[in-house]
Amino acid sequence: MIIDKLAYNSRLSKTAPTEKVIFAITSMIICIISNSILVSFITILAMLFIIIHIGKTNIKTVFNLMTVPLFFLIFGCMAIIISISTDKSEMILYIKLGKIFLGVTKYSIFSVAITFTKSLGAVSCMYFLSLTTPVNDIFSLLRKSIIPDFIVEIAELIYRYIFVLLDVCEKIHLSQDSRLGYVNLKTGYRSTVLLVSNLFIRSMNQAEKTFTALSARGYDGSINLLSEKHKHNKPFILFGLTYIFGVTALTVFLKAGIK
Amino acid sequence: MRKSQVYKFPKSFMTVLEGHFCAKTYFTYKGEKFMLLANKKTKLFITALSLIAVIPTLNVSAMHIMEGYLPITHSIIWGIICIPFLILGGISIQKQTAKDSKTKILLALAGAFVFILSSLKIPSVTGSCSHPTGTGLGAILFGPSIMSVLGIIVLLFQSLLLAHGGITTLGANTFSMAIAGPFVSFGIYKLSRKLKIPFSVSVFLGAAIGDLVTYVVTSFQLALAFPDTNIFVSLAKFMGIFAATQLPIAIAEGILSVMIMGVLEKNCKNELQQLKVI
Repeated sequence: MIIDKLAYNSRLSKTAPTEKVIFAITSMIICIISNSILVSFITILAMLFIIIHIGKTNIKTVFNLMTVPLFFLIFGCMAIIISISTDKSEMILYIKLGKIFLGVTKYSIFSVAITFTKSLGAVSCMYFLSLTTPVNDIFSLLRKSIIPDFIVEIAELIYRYIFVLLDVCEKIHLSQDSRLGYVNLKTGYRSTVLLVSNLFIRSMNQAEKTFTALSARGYDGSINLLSEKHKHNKPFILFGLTYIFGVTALTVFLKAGIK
Repeated sequence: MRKSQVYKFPKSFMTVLEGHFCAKTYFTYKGEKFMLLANKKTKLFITALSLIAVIPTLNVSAMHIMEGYLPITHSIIWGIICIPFLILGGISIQKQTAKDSKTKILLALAGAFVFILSSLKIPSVTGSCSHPTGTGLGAILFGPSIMSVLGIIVLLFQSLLLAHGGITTLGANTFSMAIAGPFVSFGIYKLSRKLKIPFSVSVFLGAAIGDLVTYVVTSFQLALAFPDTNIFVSLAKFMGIFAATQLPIAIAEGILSVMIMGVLEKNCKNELQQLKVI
């Protein structure tokens, strides 16, 4: 949950969330639509610039976080890069398995390169959002949207209780581990089962307690929270606007150039 | 070509290789065949192959489709497909919360429980740790239509707090993990209960098959987005690659769900009856 802590500590955490969400989603969509390696690289650099330079998030932590999606990308890209066909004429490199050929074509390398950079570009946009915007601000935006209020309320409560239950979970895990609860596979399973079932019982008890506590304070079925006051961050708005205009122009130019 | 880069193979071995590798990896010199060991392409290919062997040992939650991985039209279409299920779940939640205001808090804790469950590392058969989807157990405990609403909230948190999955791929991920998986899990669980199959076996079948369905649906989504020569070939490819991690996880999750339900059945019958499981 390090992302959550970083979001609260970012210099951009007090900036109006509407601007940040619009900026993140627009640049994400441009990055995906443009389908070009150049635009993706520009997106990655711009997002890193905002997160690190304007948001003042630790550079090492950001780079560590960028490796999280790599696992999925390696998986997914492997399936794209290896193509299977009975025709070997287009393949640069292949293995023969019976009548079919497993191999790499020029086209598959190209499409992997695009997908990989495009996905990293979009991930960096998402990181911009999650590293600068506390989740509570996103809730205040969701309340204004078409999503019904009771669902946003449940989401808010889930967010709160994730941390409560995570705390319980970590404590149980630590005490199990220090008593050699995960020494081999069989004990590991037993410990995991005890952990999960205890967590379930605790969470049901917690629901009971929370409901009692809330009813004692006049709970009538809805929880209303005040949202924080937000400021406008001038360097961010300036950079964001120039970035979006620049990248859109570049995308249009590239698309026109290809045709 | 320098000699140090060349290795002379016995002829019988070469004839085997001849059929399987492409012609560029070896050459003939004065009537004898040589294989290029330091060939860059060969190295690349061997690296790629060895990656396949390494990947099952990595600690992954591979079922989330990463941000930006799908074309924008696919993202939107999967999002639209999810909407009726979410509306169904929303209506059933609204009805229950109108009846009893405690339901909202119960659901919130259920959601938090599912989130923790999916971020838990389970000891897997291959020796590595892997994350369960947790949706099978969730569907059996809380019902599939409620699970779809809780699932999309949990997936949103996973993308924002853990960088698993993404905002543009939220629709696709919701369909595979919070709709297809839970509905199949719940259906199989209920069906096997009706067929008088023992409680533990039906929980195992529900959780394991639900997990497998999630994985098949994700492969299908990826295959649609990246068709090779045709969709079925790429479906086979994606399924083949994910099978290495997902089959052990599905079995592990099935076993764990059975054991967890066993403990819960013993210790908190009241809560389970409240949730209409038994």
